[in-house]
Amino acid sequence: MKKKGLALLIGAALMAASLAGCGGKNTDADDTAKADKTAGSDAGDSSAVSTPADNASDGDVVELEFWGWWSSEARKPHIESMVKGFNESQSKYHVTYVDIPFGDIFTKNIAQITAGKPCDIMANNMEEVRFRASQGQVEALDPFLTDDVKGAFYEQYLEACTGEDGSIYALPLSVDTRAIYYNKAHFEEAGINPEDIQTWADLEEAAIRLDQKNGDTWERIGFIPVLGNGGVDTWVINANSGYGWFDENFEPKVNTDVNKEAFRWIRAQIDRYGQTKYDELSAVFANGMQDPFASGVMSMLVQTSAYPSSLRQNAPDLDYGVIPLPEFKEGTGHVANGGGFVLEIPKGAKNPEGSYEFIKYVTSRETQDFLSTNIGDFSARNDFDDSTEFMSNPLNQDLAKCLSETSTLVLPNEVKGYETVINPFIDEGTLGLSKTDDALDKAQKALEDYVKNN
Amino acid sequence: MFGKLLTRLGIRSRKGRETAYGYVFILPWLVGIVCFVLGPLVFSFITSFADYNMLTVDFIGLGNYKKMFFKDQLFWKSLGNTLVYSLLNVPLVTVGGVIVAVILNKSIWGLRTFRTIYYLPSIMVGVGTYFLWMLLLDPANGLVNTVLGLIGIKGPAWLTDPAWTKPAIILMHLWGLGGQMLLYLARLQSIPQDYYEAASLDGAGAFRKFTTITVPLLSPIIFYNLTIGIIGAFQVFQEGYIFSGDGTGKPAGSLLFYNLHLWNQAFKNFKTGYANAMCWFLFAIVMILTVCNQKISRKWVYYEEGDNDD
Repeated sequence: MKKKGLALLIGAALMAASLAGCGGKNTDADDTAKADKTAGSDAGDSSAVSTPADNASDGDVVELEFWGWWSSEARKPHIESMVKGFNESQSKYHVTYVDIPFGDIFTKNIAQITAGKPCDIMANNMEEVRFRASQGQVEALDPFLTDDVKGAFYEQYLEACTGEDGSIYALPLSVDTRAIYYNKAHFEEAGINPEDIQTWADLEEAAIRLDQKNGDTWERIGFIPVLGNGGVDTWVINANSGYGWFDENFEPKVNTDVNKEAFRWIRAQIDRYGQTKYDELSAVFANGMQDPFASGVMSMLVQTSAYPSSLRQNAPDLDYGVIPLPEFKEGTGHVANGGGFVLEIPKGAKNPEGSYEFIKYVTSRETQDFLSTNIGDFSARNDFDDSTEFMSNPLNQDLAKCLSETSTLVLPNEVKGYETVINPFIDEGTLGLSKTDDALDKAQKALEDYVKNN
Repeated sequence: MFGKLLTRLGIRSRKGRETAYGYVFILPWLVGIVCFVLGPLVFSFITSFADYNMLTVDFIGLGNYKKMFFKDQLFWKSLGNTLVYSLLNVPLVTVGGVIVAVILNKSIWGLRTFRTIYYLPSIMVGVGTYFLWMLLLDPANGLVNTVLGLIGIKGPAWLTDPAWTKPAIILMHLWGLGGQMLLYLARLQSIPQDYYEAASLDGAGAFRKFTTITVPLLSPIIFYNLTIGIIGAFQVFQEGYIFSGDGTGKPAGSLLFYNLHLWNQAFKNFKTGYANAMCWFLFAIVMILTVCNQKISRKWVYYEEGDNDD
């Protein structure tokens, strides 16, 4: 018994020693080394880390980490150039860009915040800034923000970055919208003027003229509204001039007459081609190996404003244009749903002042023009006019018109996650498993229950 | 040096020293389990009674459990999806593994090649495999439907028709049964041929030999695979997460598995306390099934050493 006790004692002592060995003093130098190591391991290779500037070894330079998920050749070099530009623009801070896969970055971010060692600047989505603020995950920018910075963004985007307490928690990095991309050759062949597509009825008429069928085989698909980046919610938001499944008081309004009519119209567009064709195309978009619009199989497609950068790579010779989403009925507006990305300071970041300096630099007009020109994203800045290099491109001007009618409705925190409750019912309507009216009735009931339970 | 330390501590007997060395050898594992398993386990259990969002803790008693059983509209749906998947997947993969192993235990031409072909998928893991299967299951141009078309069957829309999403995942798992097959094969190779010869002399046919010699002698491995398979089936996550694209379990919620719903609660809605409660309920289910499996195993698992009653 005595020996057993001793053995346990030795074990405990060794365990304590091992744990002590795992710890150690937490110096700034350690932190820097750790940051570099993390960057390399997270990104999978050392090239994920931007080259430290010469002044990085200077004791006065504050090291900052910027987390994003852009790792492709189309984006990462420009992000790194931007970071380099900031590092060279001043001598107080040195930022390191760390790219972490999109599927991991958000869980890693919250884990780091919980551990009290977050990164210094985090890229994140715009729709949930308010939610993250309410959860205490982000630092308010109010102590650093000046009126000229606040005044440089369109109100709706700054509003999306504002918490329920009225504080601003992020600044917009980029914004997007949805538009209909059309194949110019197909339009010319069918004798369609894109400007004539003003309402849903016009869109349907154009789609029918664009359709080509050989026997039982569809050779060309004019338009299916819920493929690409369009969902039933896209059309419902359009039909309701900016409001989707909720009204202006955030009461569930899923099975309204307008929504039922909209969903029936969507269903009719799918039925024209048949469920099998829709399933086939849906699977093609899901596996991402082909793009039926790029290959000329589809004449029109709903996509985001970031789509041109994909087309540049996949179909550089494709001649295409964009039109706004048409109006449900005359006068209801060409409204599209959109969102964007922001830069924010995770809660507990050690140098919020330095983090803000970087955010200010990235969201400045010059840097936004650099990013837009090279990456193709749109800026939320209100001084981002035709004089910028990016906006001198006619296609971008057309997309900017769509952006001006984009809804960035931020829902209350209480209904967070409602999509998982109603989407299965909406899917039933889209897949033809139940009538669209019934699907919306069931979704309405589910959403009411969800709101009540939350 | 360590020996001197033990002497100084009064541990001189051989048995005492061996015990001390034993503890030293298992120390890394002990540190690991205390710090990285037991600690989080206890923390998870405590916070399952709290409104916990990874940053703040507010204890609410049994609130999370009540919500789970009576208010969460997706809880029962996700549990149902997981149960259906488990009920189909575990028996099919187990039986499939045994059949393939028995076939590959015969002396046939190209045996090694076939064994390699069957085992290869089980070492191909990761997200890439799922994307590969998305292509194979493409309703119009996928290999699976093309092959079905050759025999006159019009293949379904595997991943877009809610009725076919679970069979699609099971098909993918059947492709990867090489891991199980290997364990069965190892056991099959150790069964003495004398048993089969004796049975033949007694007039037993192939099926009789399979059911009375092969299956009983394979039963400990089948039992092991069944236990691991049930635990694994209840933890199904990646398939739903990747095939549904946005994590909502589409189409029509057919891929909303228990763990995907749990993950959404923890990392999308930051209801981590609630997610922890879901974890513990899942633990209870798996524990009960494992204990039942263990009890029932005494009736059908055959141990040559005769330790069925342990």
